[in-house]
Amino acid sequence: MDLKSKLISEYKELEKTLTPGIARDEAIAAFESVGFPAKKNEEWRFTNIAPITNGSFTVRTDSAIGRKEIEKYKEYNFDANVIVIHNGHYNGELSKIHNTDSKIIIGNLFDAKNIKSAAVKNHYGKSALAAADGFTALNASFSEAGVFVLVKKNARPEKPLIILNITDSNDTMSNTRNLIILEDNAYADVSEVYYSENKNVSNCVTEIFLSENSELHHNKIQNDGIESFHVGTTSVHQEKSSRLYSSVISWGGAFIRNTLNSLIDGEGIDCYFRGFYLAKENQFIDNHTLADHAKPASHSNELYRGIIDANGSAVFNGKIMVRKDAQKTNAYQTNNNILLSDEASANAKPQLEIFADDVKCSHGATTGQINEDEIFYLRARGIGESEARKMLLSAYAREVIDEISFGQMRELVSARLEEKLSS
Amino acid sequence: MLSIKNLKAKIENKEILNGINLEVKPGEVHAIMGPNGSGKSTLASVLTGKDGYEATAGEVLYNGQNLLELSAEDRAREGIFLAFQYPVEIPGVTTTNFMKTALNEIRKSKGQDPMTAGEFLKRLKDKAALVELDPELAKRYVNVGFSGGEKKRNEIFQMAMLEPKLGILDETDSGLDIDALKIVANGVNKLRNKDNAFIVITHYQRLLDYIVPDFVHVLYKGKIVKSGTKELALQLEDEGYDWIKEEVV
Repeated sequence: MDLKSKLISEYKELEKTLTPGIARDEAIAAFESVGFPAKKNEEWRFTNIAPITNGSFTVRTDSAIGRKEIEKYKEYNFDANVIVIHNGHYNGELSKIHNTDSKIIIGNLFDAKNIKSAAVKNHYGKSALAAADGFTALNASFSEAGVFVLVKKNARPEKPLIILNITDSNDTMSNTRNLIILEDNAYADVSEVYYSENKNVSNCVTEIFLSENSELHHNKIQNDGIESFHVGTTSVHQEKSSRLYSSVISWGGAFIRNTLNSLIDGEGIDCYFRGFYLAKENQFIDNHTLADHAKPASHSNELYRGIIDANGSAVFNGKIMVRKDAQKTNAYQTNNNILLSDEASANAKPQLEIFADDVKCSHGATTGQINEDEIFYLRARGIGESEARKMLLSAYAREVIDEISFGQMRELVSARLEEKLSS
Repeated sequence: MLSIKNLKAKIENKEILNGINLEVKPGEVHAIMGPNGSGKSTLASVLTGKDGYEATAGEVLYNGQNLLELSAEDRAREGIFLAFQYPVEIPGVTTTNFMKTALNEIRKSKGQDPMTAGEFLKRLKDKAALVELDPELAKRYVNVGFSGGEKKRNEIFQMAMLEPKLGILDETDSGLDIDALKIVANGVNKLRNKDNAFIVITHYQRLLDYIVPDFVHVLYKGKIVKSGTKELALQLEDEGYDWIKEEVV
């Protein structure tokens, strides 16, 4: 049986046991109709998903993880709220949430009181549409765990939130789903951190709603093992004067596909997309982004940088859409790739679709090697060649990483970068 | 300190240096002058080990070692410093971090421990003052957004930080106004002592009013065709290079 049929029949078997209250039947019907994305789909042209569709993955997963194991993860011990999701199961016992403010809700999206709440009803599935693609449809069909963050008007959690996703099951597909809602003037800092080992698929969707003048710092940090597949969609809806600071750091996994969209639906919005990816032996990392300017006088700024070594490959597809009404838009995009070997490859595709006439937009993409003049300059000061290369690569990546505002997270990511550049 | 004998070198199969002979002793300042394309910058590149500059004949001894066998970084660790004609911009690396790494790599090669933070900061402050460089500039990315003058001053600052035995200044005066030129020259003069030496490559005599050389050499078509004292530089300033070219013919 192919994977599509297998998953549809699993849905029929599990249907009765899944948390009610969300449009699961519609989602599986959408999956049945659109299936997995085909190569002829423009958004998936450079992305070969055969390693996933040729596999036999089940959504049935077990979870057993103890405190000792979880404490190995440095992030677990940070000064933060931490939610643990293991093999696609929300682990309330190991999660640490310090929150006494009634204006802030942090918990399992699929708890009855959350899933039935008006806030969820009004926002769930409104930004990441199940009909958009097969992976999102699958996620909406099966998701049973994920994080719900609601920060009400003027509120601000004391500590950043870390969603620690750990997956170690074999031949499984876990579908996690997060929903983050910031009301007017609210603030939050949320990091999704992924660790995976063994052969499995993480199919993750995060929906984000930012009301007027709210500010979200959102990090996604992918530390997966070399057999893991990750398909993730982060779908943002920004209202007037809201600010999004997104950083996506990808250096694990056999296969990563990140889709990041923001609907810029008001004036005075700031939308920052930052990304760094490091693809080594047998790794494929694909980032698709969309800054969708629907209203006038807002600003988006994107910087994605990659290093590709051995036979690794990367795709960057960044689209800036400026709709007819979005006059006075400022939209900038830069993508840089450094190839460290002859077999490494990068596909960069910037796309500008502009339907307004009074806008400032620019994009630039470069693919090349480390600058040899810079190497010589460092060597001429006594710095050894390999150290010089490491320094330049580190500097190149840090221009992205340094923008992570959560200090402990930024330091950990920087330390990991140094380790990875040394190995 | 430095002994160059019959050095020939080529880049991409083009012979640029055609048998250079030069002796530099500790405490000396040698000026190398010459018209454009005579091989001045090539000599600097060959001495500092830039890739693509291949010595085809002759030898270069530096304190008794065969210099041409050393990597660029090992030459720097042995005390050779090049002040670049076109300093490179390095986004993402601050001058402070650059100098700390360089100093500690040099110390490591000699089996010494890294400098303490306090020692390093003191040196940074002292040397910045020496070349009248705002120490705040050291917190910025190397040369990024610097004016031409600031870049050249940053080269001399780096030289002061690393305290080389042999400093090679490659057209450090180009693009400098007279005030910046004086500051740069003043910095070099303060670094001069009986144990170190400098090779000052320049197209114009102007710099040599401020960094007074012990010897002046004229490079033409890849050869030193005339050597003398500082008066030779003045004569070149007055009469240009044509009489040299005629003499060679």
